[in-house]
Amino acid sequence: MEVLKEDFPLLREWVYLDNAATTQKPSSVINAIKEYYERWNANVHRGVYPLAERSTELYEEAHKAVADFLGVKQWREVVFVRNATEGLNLAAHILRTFVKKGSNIVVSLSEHHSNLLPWWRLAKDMKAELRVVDVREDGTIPEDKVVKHINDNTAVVSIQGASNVTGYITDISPIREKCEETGSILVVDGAQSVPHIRTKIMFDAIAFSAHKMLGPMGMGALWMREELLEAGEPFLLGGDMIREVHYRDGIEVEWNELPWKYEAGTPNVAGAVGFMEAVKYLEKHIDWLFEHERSLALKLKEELEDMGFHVIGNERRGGVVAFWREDIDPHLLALKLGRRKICVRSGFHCAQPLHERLGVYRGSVRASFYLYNDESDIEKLLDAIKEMV
Amino acid sequence: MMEVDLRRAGVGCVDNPVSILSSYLSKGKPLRILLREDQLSLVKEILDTVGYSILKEEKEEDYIVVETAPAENEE
Repeated sequence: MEVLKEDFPLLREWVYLDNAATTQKPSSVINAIKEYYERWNANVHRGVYPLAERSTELYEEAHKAVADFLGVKQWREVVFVRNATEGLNLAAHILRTFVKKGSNIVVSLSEHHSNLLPWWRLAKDMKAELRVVDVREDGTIPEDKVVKHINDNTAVVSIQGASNVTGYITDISPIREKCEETGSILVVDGAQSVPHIRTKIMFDAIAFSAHKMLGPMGMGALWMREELLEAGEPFLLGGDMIREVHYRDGIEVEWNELPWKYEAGTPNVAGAVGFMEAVKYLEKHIDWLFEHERSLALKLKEELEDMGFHVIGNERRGGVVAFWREDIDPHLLALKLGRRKICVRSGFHCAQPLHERLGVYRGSVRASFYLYNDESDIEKLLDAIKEMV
Repeated sequence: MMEVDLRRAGVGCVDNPVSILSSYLSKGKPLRILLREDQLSLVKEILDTVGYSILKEEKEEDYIVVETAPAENEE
Protein backbone atom coordinates (compact mmCIF):
# COMPACT_ATOMS: atom_id res chain seq x y z
CA MET A 1 0.00 0.00 0.00
CA GLU A 2 2.98 2.30 0.54
CA VAL A 3 3.62 2.15 -3.18
CA LEU A 4 0.11 3.42 -3.87
CA LYS A 5 0.44 6.22 -1.32
CA GLU A 6 3.53 7.44 -3.15
CA ASP A 7 1.35 8.21 -6.17
CA PHE A 8 -0.58 10.79 -4.11
CA PRO A 9 1.54 13.79 -3.17
CA LEU A 10 -0.86 15.07 -0.52
CA LEU A 11 -0.80 11.84 1.49
CA ARG A 12 2.80 12.44 2.53
CA GLU A 13 1.49 14.82 5.13
CA TRP A 14 -2.10 13.89 5.95
CA VAL A 15 -4.07 10.88 7.16
CA TYR A 16 -6.91 11.29 4.72
CA LEU A 17 -10.15 9.54 5.66
CA ASP A 18 -12.72 11.73 3.94
CA ASN A 19 -12.91 9.86 0.66
CA ALA A 20 -16.69 9.74 0.52
CA ALA A 21 -16.53 13.54 0.21
CA THR A 22 -13.67 13.65 -2.28
CA THR A 23 -10.60 11.57 -3.03
CA GLN A 24 -6.99 12.58 -3.47
CA LYS A 25 -5.53 12.79 -6.96
CA PRO A 26 -2.60 10.74 -8.19
CA SER A 27 0.31 12.52 -9.85
CA SER A 28 -0.74 11.08 -13.22
CA VAL A 29 -4.08 12.93 -13.05
CA ILE A 30 -2.47 16.17 -11.89
CA ASN A 31 0.14 15.92 -14.66
CA ALA A 32 -2.44 15.15 -17.35
CA ILE A 33 -4.38 18.32 -16.50
CA LYS A 34 -1.16 20.37 -16.42
CA GLU A 35 -0.04 18.94 -19.73
CA TYR A 36 -3.39 19.67 -21.34
CA TYR A 37 -3.15 23.35 -20.43
CA GLU A 38 0.51 23.54 -21.42
CA ARG A 39 0.21 21.78 -24.76
CA TRP A 40 -3.35 21.42 -26.04
CA ASN A 41 -5.60 24.11 -24.63
CA ALA A 42 -8.15 25.26 -27.21
CA ASN A 43 -11.91 25.27 -27.42
CA VAL A 44 -13.54 22.09 -28.71
CA HIS A 45 -15.86 21.46 -31.66
CA ARG A 46 -15.15 24.83 -33.23
CA GLY A 47 -11.63 25.57 -34.42
CA VAL A 48 -10.13 23.89 -37.48
CA TYR A 49 -6.54 24.40 -36.42
CA PRO A 50 -4.54 21.46 -35.03
CA LEU A 51 -4.71 22.55 -31.40
CA ALA A 52 -8.49 22.70 -31.47
CA GLU A 53 -8.64 19.38 -33.28
CA ARG A 54 -6.44 17.72 -30.65
CA SER A 55 -8.45 19.27 -27.84
CA THR A 56 -11.67 17.96 -29.40
CA GLU A 57 -10.09 14.55 -29.83
CA LEU A 58 -9.05 14.43 -26.18
CA TYR A 59 -12.50 15.51 -25.04
CA GLU A 60 -14.16 12.77 -27.08
CA GLU A 61 -11.58 10.22 -25.96
CA ALA A 62 -12.47 11.08 -22.37
CA HIS A 63 -16.13 10.18 -23.05
CA LYS A 64 -14.99 6.88 -24.54
CA ALA A 65 -12.70 6.15 -21.58
CA VAL A 66 -15.53 6.72 -19.11
CA ALA A 67 -17.90 4.59 -21.22
CA ASP A 68 -15.30 1.79 -21.27
CA PHE A 69 -14.82 2.03 -17.51
CA LEU A 70 -18.58 1.69 -17.04
CA GLY A 71 -18.75 -1.14 -19.54
CA VAL A 72 -21.16 0.58 -21.93
CA LYS A 73 -20.76 0.32 -25.67
CA GLN A 74 -22.14 3.68 -26.75
CA TRP A 75 -20.05 6.58 -25.59
CA ARG A 76 -22.70 8.96 -26.93
CA GLU A 77 -24.77 7.87 -23.93
CA VAL A 78 -22.22 9.41 -21.55
CA VAL A 79 -23.04 13.05 -20.80
CA PHE A 80 -20.40 15.03 -18.95
CA VAL A 81 -21.73 17.13 -16.10
CA ARG A 82 -20.13 18.93 -13.15
CA ASN A 83 -20.80 16.21 -10.58
CA ALA A 84 -23.29 13.52 -9.52
CA THR A 85 -25.63 16.18 -8.16
CA GLU A 86 -25.87 17.84 -11.54
CA GLY A 87 -26.21 14.42 -13.18
CA LEU A 88 -29.19 13.53 -10.98
CA ASN A 89 -30.81 16.91 -11.52
CA LEU A 90 -30.32 16.50 -15.26
CA ALA A 91 -31.77 12.98 -15.11
CA ALA A 92 -34.84 14.32 -13.31
CA HIS A 93 -35.20 17.01 -15.97
CA ILE A 94 -34.85 14.61 -18.89
CA LEU A 95 -37.35 12.19 -17.36
CA ARG A 96 -40.03 14.87 -16.87
CA THR A 97 -41.57 13.68 -20.07
CA PHE A 98 -42.30 10.28 -18.47
CA VAL A 99 -43.86 11.60 -15.26
CA LYS A 100 -47.56 12.45 -15.40
CA LYS A 101 -50.19 13.55 -12.93
CA GLY A 102 -51.11 10.47 -10.91
CA SER A 103 -47.87 8.62 -11.50
CA ASN A 104 -45.34 8.07 -8.73
CA ILE A 105 -41.59 8.29 -8.15
CA VAL A 106 -39.92 5.95 -5.68
CA VAL A 107 -36.84 6.86 -3.61
CA SER A 108 -35.59 5.79 -0.19
CA LEU A 109 -35.09 7.71 3.04
CA SER A 110 -31.41 6.83 2.90
CA GLU A 111 -30.77 8.96 -0.17
CA HIS A 112 -28.28 11.79 -0.34
CA HIS A 113 -30.12 15.10 -0.66
CA SER A 114 -29.00 15.13 -4.30
CA ASN A 115 -31.03 12.01 -5.00
CA LEU A 116 -34.00 13.15 -2.99
CA LEU A 117 -34.66 16.80 -3.78
CA PRO A 118 -34.64 16.68 -7.61
CA TRP A 119 -37.28 13.93 -7.51
CA TRP A 120 -39.27 15.74 -4.82
CA ARG A 121 -39.42 18.82 -7.04
CA LEU A 122 -40.24 16.82 -10.15
CA ALA A 123 -43.10 15.08 -8.36
CA LYS A 124 -44.37 18.43 -7.08
CA ASP A 125 -44.14 20.05 -10.54
CA MET A 126 -45.93 17.20 -12.28
CA LYS A 127 -48.48 16.60 -9.50
CA ALA A 128 -47.11 13.10 -9.10
CA GLU A 129 -46.59 11.23 -5.84
CA LEU A 130 -43.17 10.93 -4.22
CA ARG A 131 -42.90 7.62 -2.41
CA VAL A 132 -40.12 7.70 0.16
CA VAL A 133 -39.39 4.17 1.34
CA ASP A 134 -38.52 3.96 5.02
CA VAL A 135 -35.19 2.42 6.02
CA ARG A 136 -34.47 -0.51 8.32
CA GLU A 137 -33.76 0.28 11.95
CA ASP A 138 -30.03 0.31 11.14
CA GLY A 139 -30.54 2.89 8.38
CA THR A 140 -30.05 0.57 5.42
CA ILE A 141 -32.38 0.23 2.45
CA PRO A 142 -34.86 -2.67 2.60
CA GLU A 143 -34.93 -3.71 -1.05
CA ASP A 144 -38.09 -5.78 -0.52
CA LYS A 145 -39.92 -2.70 0.70
CA VAL A 146 -38.69 -0.69 -2.28
CA VAL A 147 -40.08 -3.40 -4.54
CA LYS A 148 -43.45 -3.24 -2.75
CA HIS A 149 -43.67 0.51 -3.42
CA ILE A 150 -43.26 0.04 -7.18
CA ASN A 151 -46.43 -0.45 -9.19
CA ASP A 152 -47.77 0.15 -12.69
CA ASN A 153 -47.98 3.89 -11.96
CA THR A 154 -44.32 4.13 -11.02
CA ALA A 155 -42.62 6.31 -13.59
CA VAL A 156 -39.17 6.41 -12.00
CA VAL A 157 -37.29 4.64 -9.22
CA SER A 158 -34.11 6.41 -8.13
CA ILE A 159 -31.94 4.63 -5.63
CA GLN A 160 -28.40 4.87 -4.33
CA GLY A 161 -25.83 2.28 -5.39
CA ALA A 162 -24.11 2.69 -2.03
CA SER A 163 -24.81 4.90 0.96
CA ASN A 164 -22.45 7.67 2.03
CA VAL A 165 -23.61 7.16 5.64
CA THR A 166 -24.19 3.47 6.24
CA GLY A 167 -21.86 2.29 3.48
CA TYR A 168 -24.64 -0.16 2.57
CA ILE A 169 -24.46 -1.61 -0.93
CA THR A 170 -27.94 -1.70 -2.41
CA ASP A 171 -28.97 -4.97 -4.04
CA ILE A 172 -30.27 -3.53 -7.30
CA SER A 173 -31.35 -6.87 -8.84
CA PRO A 174 -34.82 -7.27 -7.25
CA ILE A 175 -35.57 -3.58 -7.86
CA ARG A 176 -34.57 -3.92 -11.50
CA GLU A 177 -36.75 -7.01 -11.92
CA LYS A 178 -39.77 -5.16 -10.55
CA CYS A 179 -39.05 -2.11 -12.72
CA GLU A 180 -38.90 -4.34 -15.79
CA GLU A 181 -42.26 -5.82 -14.83
CA THR A 182 -43.92 -2.42 -14.37
CA GLY A 183 -42.08 -0.57 -17.13
CA SER A 184 -40.56 1.89 -14.66
CA ILE A 185 -37.31 3.73 -15.31
CA LEU A 186 -34.53 2.85 -12.88
CA VAL A 187 -31.96 5.53 -12.01
CA VAL A 188 -28.98 4.86 -9.76
CA ASP A 189 -27.07 7.42 -7.74
CA GLY A 190 -23.62 6.01 -8.37
CA ALA A 191 -21.63 8.64 -6.48
CA GLN A 192 -20.57 6.15 -3.79
CA SER A 193 -20.64 2.96 -5.83
CA VAL A 194 -18.97 3.66 -9.20
CA PRO A 195 -15.64 4.66 -7.58
CA HIS A 196 -15.51 1.48 -5.48
CA ILE A 197 -17.23 -1.43 -7.19
CA ARG A 198 -17.12 -2.62 -10.79
CA THR A 199 -20.38 -1.29 -12.23
CA LYS A 200 -22.72 -3.76 -13.83
CA ILE A 201 -25.21 -1.95 -16.02
CA MET A 202 -28.65 -3.21 -14.96
CA PHE A 203 -30.54 0.08 -14.88
CA ASP A 204 -31.48 2.95 -17.16
CA ALA A 205 -29.25 5.72 -15.86
CA ILE A 206 -26.45 6.34 -13.41
CA ALA A 207 -24.79 9.55 -12.22
CA PHE A 208 -21.40 9.91 -10.56
CA SER A 209 -18.62 12.40 -9.83
CA ALA A 210 -15.03 12.33 -11.08
CA HIS A 211 -13.64 13.86 -7.92
CA LYS A 212 -14.79 10.91 -5.81
CA MET A 213 -12.78 8.55 -8.04
CA LEU A 214 -9.35 10.20 -8.25
CA GLY A 215 -10.40 12.75 -10.87
CA PRO A 216 -10.73 16.50 -10.71
CA MET A 217 -13.54 18.47 -9.12
CA GLY A 218 -16.13 20.01 -11.41
CA MET A 219 -16.43 16.86 -13.50
CA GLY A 220 -18.89 14.02 -13.48
CA ALA A 221 -21.03 11.94 -15.78
CA LEU A 222 -24.59 10.90 -16.37
CA TRP A 223 -24.95 7.69 -18.32
CA MET A 224 -28.46 7.15 -19.62
CA ARG A 225 -29.97 4.85 -22.22
CA GLU A 226 -29.98 6.44 -25.65
CA GLU A 227 -33.75 6.29 -26.15
CA LEU A 228 -34.32 8.24 -22.94
CA LEU A 229 -31.69 10.83 -23.82
CA GLU A 230 -33.28 11.20 -27.24
CA ALA A 231 -36.76 11.59 -25.74
CA GLY A 232 -35.77 14.21 -23.19
CA GLU A 233 -35.35 17.94 -23.52
CA PRO A 234 -32.04 19.65 -22.74
CA PHE A 235 -31.86 21.69 -19.58
CA LEU A 236 -29.20 24.20 -20.64
CA LEU A 237 -29.56 25.88 -24.02
CA GLY A 238 -26.84 27.69 -25.93
CA GLY A 239 -23.64 26.92 -27.77
CA ASP A 240 -22.55 23.47 -28.89
CA MET A 241 -25.83 21.76 -28.02
CA ILE A 242 -27.59 22.80 -31.23
CA ARG A 243 -27.15 21.59 -34.79
CA GLU A 244 -28.85 24.61 -36.37
CA VAL A 245 -30.75 27.68 -35.24
CA HIS A 246 -32.79 29.83 -37.63
CA TYR A 247 -34.89 32.90 -37.22
CA ARG A 248 -37.68 32.89 -39.79
CA ASP A 249 -41.20 33.36 -38.41
CA GLY A 250 -39.63 32.78 -35.05
CA ILE A 251 -36.80 30.70 -33.57
CA GLU A 252 -36.38 27.29 -35.15
CA VAL A 253 -33.87 24.99 -33.54
CA GLU A 254 -32.56 21.50 -34.03
CA TRP A 255 -30.65 19.90 -31.15
CA ASN A 256 -27.16 18.51 -31.67
CA GLU A 257 -26.53 14.78 -31.55
CA LEU A 258 -25.79 12.94 -28.30
CA PRO A 259 -24.12 13.60 -25.96
CA TRP A 260 -23.58 17.23 -27.05
CA LYS A 261 -27.32 17.92 -26.87
CA TYR A 262 -26.88 17.96 -23.09
CA GLU A 263 -23.49 19.68 -22.93
CA ALA A 264 -24.20 23.33 -23.63
CA GLY A 265 -21.40 25.88 -23.70
CA THR A 266 -17.66 25.45 -23.50
CA PRO A 267 -17.05 22.27 -21.52
CA ASN A 268 -14.45 21.51 -18.85
CA VAL A 269 -11.97 19.89 -21.25
CA ALA A 270 -9.07 19.84 -18.80
CA GLY A 271 -11.40 18.22 -16.27
CA ALA A 272 -12.39 15.62 -18.85
CA VAL A 273 -8.73 14.85 -19.54
CA GLY A 274 -8.15 14.43 -15.80
CA PHE A 275 -11.24 12.23 -15.57
CA MET A 276 -9.91 10.04 -18.37
CA GLU A 277 -6.58 9.64 -16.59
CA ALA A 278 -8.40 8.85 -13.34
CA VAL A 279 -10.43 6.00 -14.85
CA LYS A 280 -7.28 4.62 -16.48
CA TYR A 281 -5.61 4.55 -13.05
CA LEU A 282 -8.69 3.14 -11.35
CA GLU A 283 -9.17 0.44 -13.96
CA LYS A 284 -6.01 -1.23 -12.61
CA HIS A 285 -7.42 -1.39 -9.08
CA ILE A 286 -11.20 -1.51 -9.26
CA ASP A 287 -11.46 -5.28 -8.90
CA TRP A 288 -9.69 -5.52 -5.54
CA LEU A 289 -10.35 -2.25 -3.82
CA PHE A 290 -13.86 -2.91 -2.57
CA GLU A 291 -12.80 -5.88 -0.44
CA HIS A 292 -9.83 -3.89 0.82
CA GLU A 293 -12.02 -0.94 1.89
CA ARG A 294 -14.63 -3.23 3.36
CA SER A 295 -12.13 -5.03 5.57
CA LEU A 296 -10.79 -1.68 6.84
CA ALA A 297 -14.33 -0.52 7.54
CA LEU A 298 -15.28 -3.65 9.45
CA LYS A 299 -12.13 -3.45 11.56
CA LEU A 300 -12.78 0.20 12.40
CA LYS A 301 -16.43 -0.51 13.15
CA GLU A 302 -15.52 -3.20 15.65
CA GLU A 303 -12.94 -1.04 17.42
CA LEU A 304 -15.29 1.95 17.64
CA GLU A 305 -18.10 -0.17 19.03
CA ASP A 306 -15.71 -1.40 21.71
CA MET A 307 -15.18 2.26 22.63
CA GLY A 308 -18.90 2.81 23.08
CA PHE A 309 -19.61 4.47 19.75
CA HIS A 310 -22.70 3.69 17.69
CA VAL A 311 -21.81 2.79 14.12
CA ILE A 312 -24.60 3.44 11.63
CA GLY A 313 -25.45 0.54 9.33
CA ASN A 314 -24.69 -3.15 9.42
CA GLU A 315 -22.06 -5.59 8.17
CA ARG A 316 -23.02 -5.24 4.51
CA ARG A 317 -20.96 -2.18 3.75
CA GLY A 318 -18.21 -0.64 1.71
CA GLY A 319 -15.51 1.62 3.10
CA VAL A 320 -17.71 4.07 4.96
CA VAL A 321 -18.02 4.22 8.76
CA ALA A 322 -20.27 6.88 10.30
CA PHE A 323 -20.22 6.85 14.09
CA TRP A 324 -21.49 8.84 17.05
CA ARG A 325 -21.71 8.86 20.80
CA GLU A 326 -24.22 10.74 22.92
CA ASP A 327 -21.57 12.58 24.95
CA ILE A 328 -19.43 13.72 22.02
CA ASP A 329 -20.01 16.63 19.67
CA PRO A 330 -19.17 15.19 16.21
CA HIS A 331 -17.90 18.50 14.86
CA LEU A 332 -15.63 19.04 17.85
CA LEU A 333 -14.19 15.56 17.49
CA ALA A 334 -13.56 16.17 13.78
CA LEU A 335 -11.94 19.51 14.60
CA LYS A 336 -9.63 17.88 17.13
CA LEU A 337 -8.68 15.14 14.70
CA GLY A 338 -8.02 17.76 12.06
CA ARG A 339 -5.47 19.43 14.34
CA ARG A 340 -3.62 16.12 14.26
CA LYS A 341 -3.74 16.04 10.49
CA ILE A 342 -6.40 13.34 10.44
CA CYS A 343 -9.17 14.26 8.02
CA VAL A 344 -12.69 13.00 8.75
CA ARG A 345 -16.09 14.55 8.10
CA SER A 346 -18.74 15.52 10.63
CA GLY A 347 -22.40 16.38 10.30
CA PHE A 348 -25.26 14.80 8.40
CA HIS A 349 -23.28 14.10 5.23
CA CYS A 350 -26.11 15.53 3.12
CA ALA A 351 -28.44 12.86 4.48
CA GLN A 352 -30.23 14.73 7.25
CA PRO A 353 -33.57 12.88 6.97
CA LEU A 354 -31.73 9.59 7.48
CA HIS A 355 -29.92 10.85 10.59
CA GLU A 356 -33.16 12.21 12.02
CA ARG A 357 -34.94 8.93 11.32
CA LEU A 358 -32.22 7.17 13.32
CA GLY A 359 -32.44 9.68 16.17
CA VAL A 360 -28.97 11.07 15.46
CA TYR A 361 -29.86 14.73 15.80
CA ARG A 362 -26.37 16.22 16.12
CA GLY A 363 -24.88 14.33 13.20
CA SER A 364 -22.11 11.78 13.07
CA VAL A 365 -18.40 11.56 12.38
CA ARG A 366 -17.54 9.71 9.19
CA ALA A 367 -14.33 7.99 8.21
CA SER A 368 -14.27 6.73 4.64
CA PHE A 369 -11.57 4.77 2.87
CA TYR A 370 -10.11 4.48 -0.57
CA LEU A 371 -7.48 2.42 -2.30
CA TYR A 372 -4.51 4.19 -0.68
CA ASN A 373 -5.68 3.78 2.93
CA ASP A 374 -4.35 1.00 5.10
CA GLU A 375 -4.41 -0.28 8.67
CA SER A 376 -1.87 2.32 9.79
CA ASP A 377 -4.48 5.02 9.04
CA ILE A 378 -7.01 3.24 11.26
CA GLU A 379 -4.46 2.93 14.04
CA LYS A 380 -3.67 6.64 13.91
CA LEU A 381 -7.36 7.50 13.95
CA LEU A 382 -8.11 5.18 16.86
CA ASP A 383 -5.08 6.30 18.88
CA ALA A 384 -6.16 9.91 18.49
CA ILE A 385 -9.77 9.18 19.46
CA LYS A 386 -8.66 7.16 22.49
CA GLU A 387 -6.61 10.09 23.72
CA MET A 388 -9.50 12.47 23.32
CA VAL A 389 -12.51 10.64 24.71
CA MET B 1 -11.89 43.00 16.52
CA MET B 2 -14.08 40.81 14.36
CA GLU B 3 -17.35 39.69 15.90
CA VAL B 4 -19.28 36.48 15.40
CA ASP B 5 -22.73 35.77 16.76
CA LEU B 6 -23.34 32.12 17.63
CA ARG B 7 -26.66 32.61 19.37
CA ARG B 8 -28.67 31.32 16.42
CA ALA B 9 -26.26 28.53 15.50
CA GLY B 10 -27.91 25.19 14.78
CA VAL B 11 -26.89 21.57 14.32
CA GLY B 12 -26.58 21.51 10.53
CA CYS B 13 -23.40 20.82 8.63
CA VAL B 14 -22.58 24.49 8.11
CA ASP B 15 -24.47 26.33 10.85
CA ASN B 16 -23.13 24.51 13.92
CA PRO B 17 -20.84 26.42 16.33
CA VAL B 18 -17.72 24.39 15.47
CA SER B 19 -17.99 24.98 11.73
CA ILE B 20 -18.85 28.65 12.13
CA LEU B 21 -16.07 29.33 14.61
CA SER B 22 -13.36 27.31 12.89
CA SER B 23 -13.73 29.41 9.74
CA TYR B 24 -13.09 32.57 11.79
CA LEU B 25 -10.41 31.08 14.00
CA SER B 26 -8.38 29.85 11.04
CA LYS B 27 -7.64 33.52 10.28
CA GLY B 28 -5.53 33.67 13.45
CA LYS B 29 -6.94 37.01 14.57
CA PRO B 30 -8.65 38.16 17.79
CA LEU B 31 -12.36 37.51 17.85
CA ARG B 32 -15.38 38.65 19.84
CA ILE B 33 -17.99 35.91 20.21
CA LEU B 34 -21.61 36.33 21.25
CA LEU B 35 -23.09 33.09 22.51
CA ARG B 36 -25.77 31.44 24.57
CA GLU B 37 -24.96 30.14 28.02
CA ASP B 38 -25.47 26.52 26.96
CA GLN B 39 -22.80 26.98 24.27
CA LEU B 40 -20.08 28.18 26.63
CA SER B 41 -18.38 24.88 27.47
CA LEU B 42 -18.33 23.84 23.79
CA VAL B 43 -16.90 27.19 22.73
CA LYS B 44 -14.21 26.98 25.41
CA GLU B 45 -13.25 23.53 24.18
CA ILE B 46 -13.08 24.74 20.58
CA LEU B 47 -10.87 27.66 21.57
CA ASP B 48 -8.62 25.39 23.58
CA THR B 49 -8.36 22.95 20.66
CA VAL B 50 -7.22 25.60 18.19
CA GLY B 51 -4.89 27.36 20.63
CA TYR B 52 -6.89 30.48 21.44
CA SER B 53 -6.94 32.08 24.88
CA ILE B 54 -9.89 33.80 26.46
CA LEU B 55 -9.12 37.47 27.10
CA LYS B 56 -12.48 38.45 28.51
CA GLU B 57 -15.74 36.71 29.42
CA GLU B 58 -18.78 38.85 30.22
CA LYS B 59 -22.34 37.95 30.96
CA GLU B 60 -24.92 40.20 29.38
CA GLU B 61 -28.62 40.02 30.19
CA ASP B 62 -29.42 36.92 28.17
CA TYR B 63 -26.16 36.02 26.46
CA ILE B 64 -22.40 35.85 26.99
CA VAL B 65 -19.59 37.75 25.29
CA VAL B 66 -16.19 36.10 24.96
CA GLU B 67 -13.17 37.90 23.60
CA THR B 68 -10.42 35.64 22.43
CA ALA B 69 -7.10 35.71 20.61
CA PRO B 70 -4.42 33.25 19.53
CA ALA B 71 -2.43 32.21 22.60
CA GLU B 72 0.84 33.71 21.36
CA ASN B 73 -0.85 37.14 20.97
CA GLU B 74 -1.83 37.27 24.58
CA GLU B 75 -0.50 40.32 26.41
